[in-house]
Amino acid sequence: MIEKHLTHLRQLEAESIHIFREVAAEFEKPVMLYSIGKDSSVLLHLARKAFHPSPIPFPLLHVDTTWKFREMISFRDQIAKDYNLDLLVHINEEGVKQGIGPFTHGSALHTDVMKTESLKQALNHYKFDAAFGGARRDEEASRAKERIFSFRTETHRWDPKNQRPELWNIYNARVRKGESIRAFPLSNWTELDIWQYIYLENIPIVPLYFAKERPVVERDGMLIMVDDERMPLNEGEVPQMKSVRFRTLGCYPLTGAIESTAATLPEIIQEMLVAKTSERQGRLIDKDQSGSMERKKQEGYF
Amino acid sequence: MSVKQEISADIEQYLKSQEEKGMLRFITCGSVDDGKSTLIGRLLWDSKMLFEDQLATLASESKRVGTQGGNIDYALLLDGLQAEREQV
Repeated sequence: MIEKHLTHLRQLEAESIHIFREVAAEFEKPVMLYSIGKDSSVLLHLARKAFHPSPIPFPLLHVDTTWKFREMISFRDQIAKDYNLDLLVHINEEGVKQGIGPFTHGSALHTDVMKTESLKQALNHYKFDAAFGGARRDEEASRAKERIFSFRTETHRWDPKNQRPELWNIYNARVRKGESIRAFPLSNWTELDIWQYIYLENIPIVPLYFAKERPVVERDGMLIMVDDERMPLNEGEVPQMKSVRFRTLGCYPLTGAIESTAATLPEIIQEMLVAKTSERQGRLIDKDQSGSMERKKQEGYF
Repeated sequence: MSVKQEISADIEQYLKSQEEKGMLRFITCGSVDDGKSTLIGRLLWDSKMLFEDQLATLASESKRVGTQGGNIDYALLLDGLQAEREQV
């Protein structure tokens, strides 16, 4: 009966909190993957709510590719300090030693080594048996039919043909030693839900989401922000100051900005509602080819 | 006034009205190839919930792997997995 009075955002919130508590109760060593983006901000907010007034009963893990926007890193450290979080940061040192980066090795290899491999290293090292992620079903076709408790083999592989049945809110938490699950509390949220919830709950997000004058260059039809001196400029290429913001955040060389003057949350939501393109359009790594996200997921990418 | 005009005119008012919204839960049941995904895909299409880049991908995927002879195959909006597309 109470449900009648819950708005859709409150229902989504309740569902996510239930998932957090279920995983915390059923697994020995959970971790929350924290990517610093808007979905991670909502995920963190929900995790804090789920266990309040106790601290979050598991650590956060950021897989740092060393190519994130500088503002993302300072935001991460500030949030960890403000909320007194147990934040683990993992960098694939092997990749760093080999000098792997998106400019020199291309987006596919960079993502594979610095993100997918790096995540697997961290999961193996800490022996986590459950990892929360902020993926949403509306993001990408290969995520559309992902379970909320997504089973992974000992080698972190995801087999789309061998998924467990998941009936309503009954989750199967049985895993053998070495096997694990990825849990997605935001599965049923849409991009709009995320923004509305950030607005409603006043959740802090990285300032890069708000429009500001930033130095950008145009590459393959995408506006790439020149975030540090590692970005090689082509001959005659001069960074221009443009009022831009980001719809999603990742590695700065792989994340396209959009021209915008939206500097407040309502303005961002307003722009999004009349937008004609999806948020993933600004992500270079999705466009390698159709099915590329699925392949990355099978190999252990989030 | 259309929704888009409403959004442009007063976003704060629109957000307030959205906060009160309830949630619709929707499931389809059926056997393999009964048209569960096609129905949901068609609903997304008709309710104009798709973005231009998603439509462009849908059009090219329909030509490449679709079952509708080059016409739009709405099921491809949901059956995004290679593994699913292998099902004959």
